[in-house]
Amino acid sequence: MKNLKENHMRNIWKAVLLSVMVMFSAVGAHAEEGAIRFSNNAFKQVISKSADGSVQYDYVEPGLVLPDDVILYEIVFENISTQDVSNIVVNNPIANNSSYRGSSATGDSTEITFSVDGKGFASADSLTVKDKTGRVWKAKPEDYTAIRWVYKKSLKPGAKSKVTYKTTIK
Amino acid sequence: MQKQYNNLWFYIFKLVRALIVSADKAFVSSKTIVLLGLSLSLLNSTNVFAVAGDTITTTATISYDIGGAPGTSNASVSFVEDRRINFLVTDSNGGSAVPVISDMTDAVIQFTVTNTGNTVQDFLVTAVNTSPNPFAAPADNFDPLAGTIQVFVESGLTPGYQAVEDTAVFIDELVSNTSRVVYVVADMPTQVIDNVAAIALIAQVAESGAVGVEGAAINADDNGMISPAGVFSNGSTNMPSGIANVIADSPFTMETVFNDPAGLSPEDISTALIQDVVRNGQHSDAGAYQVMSPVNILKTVTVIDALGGTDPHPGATLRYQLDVNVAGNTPVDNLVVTDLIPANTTYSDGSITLNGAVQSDLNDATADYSRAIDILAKPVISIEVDLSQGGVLAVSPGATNVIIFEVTID
Repeated sequence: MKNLKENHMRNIWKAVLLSVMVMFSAVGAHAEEGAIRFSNNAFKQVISKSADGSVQYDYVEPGLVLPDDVILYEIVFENISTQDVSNIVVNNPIANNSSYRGSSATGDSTEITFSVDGKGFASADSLTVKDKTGRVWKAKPEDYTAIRWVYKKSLKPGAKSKVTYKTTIK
Repeated sequence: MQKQYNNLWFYIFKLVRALIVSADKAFVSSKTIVLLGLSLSLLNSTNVFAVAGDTITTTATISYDIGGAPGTSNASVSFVEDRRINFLVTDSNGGSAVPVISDMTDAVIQFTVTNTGNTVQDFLVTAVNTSPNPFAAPADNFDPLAGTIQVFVESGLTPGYQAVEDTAVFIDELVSNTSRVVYVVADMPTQVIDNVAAIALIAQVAESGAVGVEGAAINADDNGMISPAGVFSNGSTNMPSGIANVIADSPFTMETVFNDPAGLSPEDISTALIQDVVRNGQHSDAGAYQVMSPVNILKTVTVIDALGGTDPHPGATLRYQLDVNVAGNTPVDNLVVTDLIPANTTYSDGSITLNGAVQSDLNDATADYSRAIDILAKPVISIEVDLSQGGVLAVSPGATNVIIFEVTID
């Protein structure tokens, strides 16, 4: 199994993304060829402690996935057309058997909102849920069912960007 | 150009919608069966019922504009949740030895098996003699009668061991984070009071298989760990030792990983008959039988004063009652009850009764088997009632023999 250092995540695209995409093609992960080449990738987080006490995060193929494991999702979009692409919005439901890890969603030049029902989206601070008695609570990360990234810039031809988030396996 | 994009967008939108809806439906239907009968309070947490072997899938969608026309695309990623086998056996008799009686049959020790893994499993069970005493002192110093140790699983009908109901010899379909009670049932040899027999219950993980059918033992995981050979299900299942097997981790298949803990103490043994080790598909805990007296005596006193009240003044009568009871399921031989006449009191001649029948004070075994010692050389210092009638009669469990005698306060 190939280990991927977080500080080399940019190199993952070249080194591993291709193989991951090939790997997942059997289960439907793919980029529908239009103006955007789009891919969705999952890695298992492995934490190890070095002899000097420093903690190292590695991201590996999700071959062995057990309860409480942390999964890093990386969604990559690349403009393969000859024109600027604008108004990019990426939407991703939280997978089954998984709960979103608070504050884990990232994305350069994006506005990130969350949903507890897949319909209404709001920032983490303003998202609410109702309990059975109708009382309103601030939504907890494990209540989230979907994440939305609004990319605030336009993507030049040949440019690419990515968004990421983490989940915990139940 | 724009029209083409619009058509494409519409087509893809429908496709994505269909994919998402069908995925949601599939997810809901696969969980609906599990939800039946469970607390409604859990319904809001749709992902509580994670199960090993589930394919974990998510589909991202992207929408955008290019040259004034909308576009969309989607990408999925999937992998399979693997199976973590984890479970606990715990002695559940209140943290102490189970009191038993010499020669008792069907003495019961209770254990609990809890599945802490991430899918439903069957568990095979067996009980073996072990040592030392899990409750420290006195030392383990006997074993139940050879060949009498059996294990049965609680049916759920009536709490506590019921020979008629609790007949299953393996744990069937134990869901994640639930427990099942298991009984060890054994016959005791002839033993003196306080002797201890330590017993370990060992559970072995097995495939859940069909409901009501004992699943195949899982004696090796996919990570090189194995179980030792063992005999389970009251002798009907002979499991060989596992063969180490390493299967490369794959996102597309379910791998099985033993994650069970080790036995806490030396007496918590595996079927290798050594202290249970981690990740061997087995876990155990030990309980113990401890021999107690089979005879219980409840003594009560009633004061009867000369004025018909209950004031214990000089001259008042003290009526002592001894309720003698044999516990367990084995008759007792040579059961002789004696009691001392208290200081500052005088035995009331002819006051001994046994189950309501007046007994003579004389040592006249042919008439009755009670006496006041010594009615012929007063003062009387004790009374004696031989419930076994000179060693002839075995006193059976269950019935209570009531002995009454009276004294007066000096």
